[in-house]
Amino acid sequence: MELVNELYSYKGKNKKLLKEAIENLILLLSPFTPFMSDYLWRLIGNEGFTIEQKFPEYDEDALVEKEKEIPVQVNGKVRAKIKVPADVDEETVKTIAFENESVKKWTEGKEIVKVIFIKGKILNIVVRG
Amino acid sequence: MTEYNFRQIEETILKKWEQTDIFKSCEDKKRDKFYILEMFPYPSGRIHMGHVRNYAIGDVVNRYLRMKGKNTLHPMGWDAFGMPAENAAIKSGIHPAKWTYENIDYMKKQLKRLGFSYDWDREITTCIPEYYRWNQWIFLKMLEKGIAYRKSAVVNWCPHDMTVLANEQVIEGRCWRCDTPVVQKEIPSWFLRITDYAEILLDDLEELKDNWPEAVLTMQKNWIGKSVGATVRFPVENSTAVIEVFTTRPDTLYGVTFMAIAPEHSLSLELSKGTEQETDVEDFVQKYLTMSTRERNIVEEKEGVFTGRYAINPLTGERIPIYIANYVLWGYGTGAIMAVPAHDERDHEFAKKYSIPIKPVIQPPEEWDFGEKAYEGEGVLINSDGFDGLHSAQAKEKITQLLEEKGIGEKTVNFRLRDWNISRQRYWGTPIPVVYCDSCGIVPVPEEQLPVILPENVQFTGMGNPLEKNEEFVKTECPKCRREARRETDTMDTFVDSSWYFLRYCDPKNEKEPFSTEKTDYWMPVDLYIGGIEHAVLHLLYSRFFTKFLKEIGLVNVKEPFVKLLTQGMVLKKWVKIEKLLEILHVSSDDSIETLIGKLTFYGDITDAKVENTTIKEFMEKNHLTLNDNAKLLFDKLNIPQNILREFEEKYGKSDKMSKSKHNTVDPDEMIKKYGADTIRLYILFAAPPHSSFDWTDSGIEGAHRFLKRVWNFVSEKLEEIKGVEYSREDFKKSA
Repeated sequence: MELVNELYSYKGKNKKLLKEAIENLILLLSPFTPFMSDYLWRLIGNEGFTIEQKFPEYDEDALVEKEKEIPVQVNGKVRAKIKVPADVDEETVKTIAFENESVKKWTEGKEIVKVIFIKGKILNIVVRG
Repeated sequence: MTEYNFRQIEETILKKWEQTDIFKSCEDKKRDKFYILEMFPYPSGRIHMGHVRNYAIGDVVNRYLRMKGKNTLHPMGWDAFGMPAENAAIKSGIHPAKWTYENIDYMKKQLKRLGFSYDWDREITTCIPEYYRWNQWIFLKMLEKGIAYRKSAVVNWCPHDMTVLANEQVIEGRCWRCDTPVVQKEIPSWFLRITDYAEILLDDLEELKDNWPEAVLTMQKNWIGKSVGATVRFPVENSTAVIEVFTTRPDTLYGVTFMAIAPEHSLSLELSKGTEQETDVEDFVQKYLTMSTRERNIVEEKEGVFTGRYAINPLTGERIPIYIANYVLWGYGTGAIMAVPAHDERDHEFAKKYSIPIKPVIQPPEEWDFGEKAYEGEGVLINSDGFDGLHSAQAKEKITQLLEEKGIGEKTVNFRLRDWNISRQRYWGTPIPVVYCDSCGIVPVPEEQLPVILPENVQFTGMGNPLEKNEEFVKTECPKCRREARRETDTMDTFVDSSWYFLRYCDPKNEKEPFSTEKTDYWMPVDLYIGGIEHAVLHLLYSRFFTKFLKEIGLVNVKEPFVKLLTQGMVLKKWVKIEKLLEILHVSSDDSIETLIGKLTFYGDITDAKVENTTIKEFMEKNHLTLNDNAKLLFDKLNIPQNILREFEEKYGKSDKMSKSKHNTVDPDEMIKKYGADTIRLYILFAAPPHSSFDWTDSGIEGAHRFLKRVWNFVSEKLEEIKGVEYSREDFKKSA
């Protein structure tokens, strides 16, 4: 069900990705609804029957999150969300954060008292002035 | 965008499947095999929703495993012999063969239409000679090994129709056809010595432990019913007769205050001869002998009669009255018991009713009123001579030892399991391949003369076994001395057919043997077996027994036939009785039809309803309806649309297994017409986990149908975009 909802909301233009997703959907449903699956399988330009195809396997790589979005707080208020590599270290996060326009707005010209980074979760900046 | 035309889709694809052999299965030693099997149906006429669920579960597993690269075997067939076909012949004159084959044709079409991926090249029909000849062959092997034997058995007998009745053909002690009181009669029958396998059938349950439902294992264990105890012989006073009993509680021997024997026991009439009780005993025995065993099991009230005679407790020398009692079952143990009312609840109940003394011999751990209740637990012995102070466990051993020393009893292992009576005095079954010769006695039909063909030309009168009257069949030549002989006319219990069919699927066209060991070595055991829990004992136990026998004679190499067993849940449907409907509407059956219809107008459009100027009660009587009938029937008669009932059903309905008598069935054919097979499959598979029961609802199946429409619409919307697009996995790696 969720896959179908997700597909409906897909607005991208990558036709190859779309075709792969549709083929996988057809194959995933095939043991349950073999008539429709075989019919659609042929309709989208394939030959044979779905029972002869390999059941889709999930891609281990695809399931690993590559990027993370973490919130940046300035004096206890979330001022920005930044995208960082999943296994990022503190220094890189700081560099990315202080280049962020919104963070700049709340920190520029102020004294940085403390910066606390909780890995993968949040970056906290305390300023004075 | 095109509409989801399921009918056209399903019919097109079905044709394509039929033109190929994609569901075929072949041995391939290089690939992993998986044998998936659903219990084959009796061809009763139509597929019902229970079947659909059973087979849909198997089908989704088969299709999935195929796609995962397994070499699967997924066959289907027909358990085609049995009583309904013969009853149809008696009632309407259609030949059982015609009736059966027509049903098979229809049901096979239904299974195909539901999209089940069976290898139909392996179809088995048990009523064709190519199959049942191997029933006969296995029987001969069993005869040779002493596993098949002949002895007399008690059956339900209708003295008017001169025919044997199955338990379900005895209604309140009378014949289902002619209402004549049924009597119990002993007739010679063929038995299979399954009791030889009791121990191993019990032990090997251990191997199935993690893969079979706990409930099934327990039922089999209880059915085999192993108990360790002692046999004790009680001499009858002033007689040479001895009553032998089996007891699991030799530690209570000092507490015996009466003995009880089954009405069928050979001593029951004999003992009372010449006593004042003679006529009482005769009446009592007569009453119970006319009941079927099933009916006797239903009688809850304990009842008995004193024989006027006494037995002697061989340990104490006490005189003990002998009763005949309804709760002692013939065919279990010795058909006689030593009764210890202080320590057995059934004996206690009986003792209180007939004012028999209650003598405690085990000290309960707490205060106990023996006048109120028996203490069935173990404990320390009292009132037991030299055994006082011993614990039950020790006392059992010591007392058994004493019995053995005195020669009045011995340690015994008893099984509840009985040998299997496979004789049926019916036409529509496998003929038992045996000949009776005046000079040679019982002669097995030689293997090369198999099959003994079931003749088609017989008359179905409902009187006796039709085979007996077919002289052409009965009259034969003795295979030994060539003189005139008579064929056995009993046919086999149809459970024989289903005890090895899963082996035949591995090699269904073999004309030389039941199946080749090479083929069963590849496919067996069945990796997943799916069916109803109602087969927990008989079918599954018999199949295990046959497998063990066939292994012994070197035909198969597996100990157990079914690795994993799945007992699927039932398909239920809520329904409302007329009584309930009236209650909900606050209408009495003395109110008029007009009142009822008036109330119903609040629930939907009933402008076409038939208004009659009578009370509800009169209307129901006229249409042969009772308050216990499904309200649906009343709606039909009043020409009120069914959908109005839906709300009542979902809110107030009672969940019951779909059944014709309750009129709460949903017909698969109708659902196919309305939603298509894919929708039914999807709904039935997603409604609940396979082992749980669920309520079939209109909203549920409509939900499944909407989902499929969505999938269809989505794909057809994107069709233009993706047509001709080609991709490989590498395309996605790069972009990542």
